[in-house]
Parts: sequence; structure tokens; C-alpha cells
Amino acid sequence: MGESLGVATSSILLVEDFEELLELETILIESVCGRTAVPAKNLREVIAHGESALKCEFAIIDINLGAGEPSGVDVYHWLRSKGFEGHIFFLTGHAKDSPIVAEATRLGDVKVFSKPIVPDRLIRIMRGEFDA
Amino acid sequence: MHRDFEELAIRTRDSVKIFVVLSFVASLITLTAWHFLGAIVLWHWEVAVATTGALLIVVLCFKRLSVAASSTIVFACAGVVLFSSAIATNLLAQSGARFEAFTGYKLVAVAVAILAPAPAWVGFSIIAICAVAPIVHYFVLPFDIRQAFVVQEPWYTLICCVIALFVFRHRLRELQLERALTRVAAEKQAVNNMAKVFFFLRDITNSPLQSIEITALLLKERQIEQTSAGRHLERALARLRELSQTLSSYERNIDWSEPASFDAVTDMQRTLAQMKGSSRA
Repeated sequence: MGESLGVATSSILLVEDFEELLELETILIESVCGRTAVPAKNLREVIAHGESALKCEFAIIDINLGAGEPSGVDVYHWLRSKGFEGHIFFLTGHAKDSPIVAEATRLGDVKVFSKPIVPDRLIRIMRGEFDA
Repeated sequence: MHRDFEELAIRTRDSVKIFVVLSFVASLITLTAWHFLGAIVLWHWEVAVATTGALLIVVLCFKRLSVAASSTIVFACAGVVLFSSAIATNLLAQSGARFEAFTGYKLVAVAVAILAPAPAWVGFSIIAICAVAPIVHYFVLPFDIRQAFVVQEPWYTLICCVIALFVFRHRLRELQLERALTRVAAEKQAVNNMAKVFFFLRDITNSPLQSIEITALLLKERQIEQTSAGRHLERALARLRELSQTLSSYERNIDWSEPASFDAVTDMQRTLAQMKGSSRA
């Protein structure tokens, strides 16, 4: 079904406000992991991707998406409300007890990783080895 | 300056102001009362009214008086009122009228004790003068004039001053405690602010660090061209450099009295532990 939209079923939704990192993660996914990346800087871009985003196998989302922007948790809620069933991973540079990270942790069906994450571990996640 | 410290400084200035206002009003009331009693010739209270009035203008005009200036004003004010009171007591005793002796001494001692308008030594000195001066005054007067005083004097004034002394001591302790609590609150506030800065620092630095790590991996895996990798590294470093420049502007606030050479990681851990201790206090 993903292929019919031009998106491989093994695609990964990447949401990261730091453009530089978003670009590098995209390269990492496509060159090292052999998957397709659906990159977005914020919720608006995720919504703009529409079905491409919703058909991704899983999502890696930065929790803080910049001042005045909806957070990664808002992206999570949007995805779930639209029927996204894939795994969702949060990446954050914030402390575990900061309110926004605590809120993300409480969601239950997500995994929260601290940035900077060791690249090998990130690759394992991107390859779908979710127990990484 | 921390908000609580500012409030404390304002309250200290206010206590000086209230003391001067009370001295002025008391002198004015005495002047008016004596005028109505037709006894104005006994002692020209205009002198006390004019002096305390002038001191009041000084206090109102200069919002930020030094401790020395405030102490001088409190001393001058108390001195004028006590001197006027002493002369009034003397003249009233000689007049043969019924009167309350050493009223000014008692009122000044109580006002100083409650308001604590000046440093400890100034307050203790004024209360000590209020306690000792009436005794000296009483015993230097001729025996027949002493008969005009009520039987409790000058011991009643002495007891009032001793009570004022204890009240003043209690007020000083109270102020000391308040200052200590204000200092703790200010330190806690500073630690909280620093914690927020660390929180933002982590957020700002983690993404460029992650970029550098991924670029290094991509280079190792030969999945990225050197030129492209260099560009990515430059952008990540630019963000870190920007942060470094922002932080460097705060270096002038550091106390450099400590040794110039240091181990950044160890010193940072020690400083953080101290800050953690302060925030728990």
C-alpha cells in the first residue's frame, strides 16, 4: 500500500527542527540503513506530507521543535489521531524530569532516547531493531 | 539586586524616615501644646521643629542615603528631641507645675527599639543615653527642684529604657534572620536561573553534537563526500561557536581571585555540587 503512494513501506518519518541534523539523519537512513526518510521540521510539514507520513513504518521525533512550534508530543497525538500505528521514538536533549519529557514518557507506547545518541544505536533503531 | 534585598533596603530607609517624621510631629505637637498653655517662653520648641523639619527634608530628598548618613540623621534627630526634652523637664520642674518627667527619653528609646532605624551600635547608644542621662540630670538638680518629680523618677525612665533595650535586641535578631532568609532566597533564585541556563545549554548543544557524531560515522562508512561532510561539520560548529560567544560575555562576572589554572570538568562538578547544596538549603 505504501508503494502505491510512492513511499516504501520501510520508510521512516523524521521530525527534527535542527535542519542540519535532519539532513544528516536523512542521509544516514537512506545510505546506511537502506530505507526511505520522510523528513519534516515541524508539525505543519508532517501534516503537509499527509499519507506519506502516516504510511511510515515508524517515526523518530525530536521533542522540542522550536519556540512557538507544537512539540514532538503534539506530533505524536496528531499521528495517533490519524491512525498511525507504527512505533514512535522520541529524541530529546532535555532532562528526564523536564515537564515535556515527562509528558512524552507517560504516553506509554513510545521510547524516549537522550541526545546525543550513539550513532550505532541510532542505526539499530533505524534498521528496526527496536530493542536497541 | 535581588527583589527581596531591594525591599529590605527600602524598609530600612523607611524606618529612618518614620523616625524623623515622628520626631518632627512630636516636636510640632509639643510646640503647639506649649503655645496653648501659654508657656512658649519656657523653651523655644521652634528650634526642635525646625531642626527635625530640616532633617525630614534631607531624608525625603535623598532617596539613597548611606548607612553613615542615616546614622547621623537618627543621632541628630534623637539628640534634638532629647535635648529639648531635658530643657523642658528642667524648666517644668522649676515652674512648680505638675508634669511627667523625661517623656522624650522614654518615647525616643521605645521608637528606636521598635523601628530599629540605624545600625546596632547607634540604637544601643541612643537607648543607653536615654537610660543614663535622666539619672545624671536628676542628681545634678538641686534637692528642692527634685521634689517636683514624681517619686518613681528617674528609675521609671531607666526601666522603660531597659525594656526598650530588650525589644531592640529582639528586633535586631529578627532583622538579622530576615536578611539571612533573603540571602538564601536570592541564592536559591540564582541556582534556579543557572539550572534553567543548563537546561537550555543542553538543548542547544545536543543537536550539533549529534550532527558531528553522525557526520563522523558517515565519513567512516564512506557514505558522504569529504566536502559535504566538512560543510555539515562547519554548520554544527557554527552553532556551538555562537553559543560560546554568547557565554563569553558573562565571563566578566567570574571571581578570578581563585587560581588561574583549573580542571574544567572537576571544577564544574564541584560548583554544581555547591549549587545543588544551596538550592536545597
